[in-house]
Amino acid sequence: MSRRKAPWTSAVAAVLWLAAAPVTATMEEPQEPAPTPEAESAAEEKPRTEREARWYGEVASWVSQPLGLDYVPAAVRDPDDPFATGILGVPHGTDLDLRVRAGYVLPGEFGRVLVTYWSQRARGALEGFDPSRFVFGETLALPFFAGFRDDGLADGFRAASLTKTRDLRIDYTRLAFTGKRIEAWWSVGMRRVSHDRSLQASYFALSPDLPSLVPPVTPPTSPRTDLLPRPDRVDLSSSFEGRGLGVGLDLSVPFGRQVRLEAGASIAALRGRMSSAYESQTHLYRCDGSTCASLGLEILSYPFDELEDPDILDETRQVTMPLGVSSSSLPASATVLDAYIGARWTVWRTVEVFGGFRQSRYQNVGADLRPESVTLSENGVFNFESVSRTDRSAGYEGYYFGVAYRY
Amino acid sequence: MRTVLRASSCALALVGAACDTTQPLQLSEQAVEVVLGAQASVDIYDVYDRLVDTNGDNLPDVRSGQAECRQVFVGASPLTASRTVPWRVSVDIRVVRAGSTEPQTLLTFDPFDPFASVLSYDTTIESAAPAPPTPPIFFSNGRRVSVASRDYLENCAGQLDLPDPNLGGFPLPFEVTLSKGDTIIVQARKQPDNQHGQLPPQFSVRSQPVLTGSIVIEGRTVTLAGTAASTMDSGSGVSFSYTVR
Repeated sequence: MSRRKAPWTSAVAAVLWLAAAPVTATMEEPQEPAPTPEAESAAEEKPRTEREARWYGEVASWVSQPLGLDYVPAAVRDPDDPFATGILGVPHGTDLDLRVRAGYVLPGEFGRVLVTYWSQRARGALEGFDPSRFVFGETLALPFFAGFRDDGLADGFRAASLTKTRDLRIDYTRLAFTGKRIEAWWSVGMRRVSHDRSLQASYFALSPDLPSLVPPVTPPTSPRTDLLPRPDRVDLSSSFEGRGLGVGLDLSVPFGRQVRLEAGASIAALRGRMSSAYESQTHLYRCDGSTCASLGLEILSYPFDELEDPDILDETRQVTMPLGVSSSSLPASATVLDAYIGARWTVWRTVEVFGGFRQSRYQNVGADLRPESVTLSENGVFNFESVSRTDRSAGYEGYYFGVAYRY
Repeated sequence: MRTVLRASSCALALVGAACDTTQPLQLSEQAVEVVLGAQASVDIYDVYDRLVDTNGDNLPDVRSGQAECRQVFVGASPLTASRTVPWRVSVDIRVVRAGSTEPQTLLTFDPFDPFASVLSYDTTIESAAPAPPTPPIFFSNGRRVSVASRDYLENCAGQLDLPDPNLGGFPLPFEVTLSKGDTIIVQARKQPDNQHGQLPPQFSVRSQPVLTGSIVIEGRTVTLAGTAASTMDSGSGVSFSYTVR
């Protein structure tokens, strides 16, 4: 299997080449006389801060909380107020993840090359149980046979989400202007983002008002536990991988010799591919015996009074209706916005500690597919007349703290 | 001084706001009784102990060991009454514990056990009118019972090997301990009448029984979800649940 070189690596090489070009130019300039051994030893005796540090690295803990993921697995109905139905979103707490950055300061005043990487894996969970009160709306399940009563309502649900974001930036940054009170750096670079999101939801009929599912004492048969309502299940997932160009501006305001405030923002436009999938499993009761055939019964419906008849009970089975739709590697575009504000303190020569507040927004990095208009043919085949696609975004915000070192 | 007071007030307010007044959840357990019963219209009999005059003194001397059973009529019609009947049922009781979605089986019936899952006998006893003796036979201890009573079944129908009332081998009412959020699900079905004669007890009913269920917590009958009373159709059942809230 041949492996193609990823286009973004070419772009990174181009950025590095652009950054290195001024260095080449300076080398072509007339060289100063070589320093004497005395001068070299004097330079080595200088404190490191006075020399130009070339390498730069920082590690920060970003205590970020996902926002705006739009995981809505259920709605809750107020039986007494038709206008009070609320939607239930999966809550997310904060996660501590490392954000690492490494850089190289180009000789002279030709700026820096920075590589930044951050990833986060956020799990969320939500559940609600109110046995015998069918107040939870199955917002994700297809309407066909959703809910024990085929009305899309459950008396319990459980949902779990998983969101993974990986963000790699390679930036060339250079001083835009400087003054007594402020210093500004512009940046341009490549950005590569991958984002995966999934939501699984199960909807239960914990306490269904079914007729008795136990057969008569005679003839000896076992309780029809196979007719206890199985939970409806929905699985939503999407995966995005994209890369593109980004620009940014960082401001630094010194307060004395050791402390400075900093703030910045960046934006990146990404182009990539997205895969999405939707799977739904609902259930129905089907009677396919001679008794039902003589009565013209096939698919039973609520309140399932027919199950009172031991013969019909014996001929009934629970059938799963699996339905799904997926899209694979469709072109997609996304936008990334970043902003931060913080402070940085030089605690010792080349060591800094820093902290602040950062927000990131990954726009349109996910998509939910849902069959919209579904028809059922006479031979039991489903057809999707239309499928909706809803773009999803992910936001992260939180405080960060870290340490930086220049060498 | 004023500054100190203000600072102290602010500190107290902050501490007060930080206090969590929510009491910890108490997972109180409750003893729950599941009651199942069947009622049907049955015939009424007057039952007497039979005594025999063995020495000719026109007085009763010894018990004959047999009972005198006389059906009660009102005019030309047999007297009937709606009584608890020891009907056989198939039963399945499950519990879904709080936070769980998998029901646990607490009780299920064994279809091969001829003594399993028999509901309560009729325990109603009324006094019967004294029966005139027909020497050398005398009648005493007259009581009016139904054909669904153990007294009638043993003494009049000769069914000596009667099962005790039970649900799946457990005594009636079935008792279980539940915690807050637990849901108990009860399903039961009457034995169809056409198969009734296969297992004891054997008796006739004027109308098909109605199977009823209830749940009692600390002496209080609670409101159930589902169907707690069956129809009179042969082989019908009940299916109900209750969640401890």
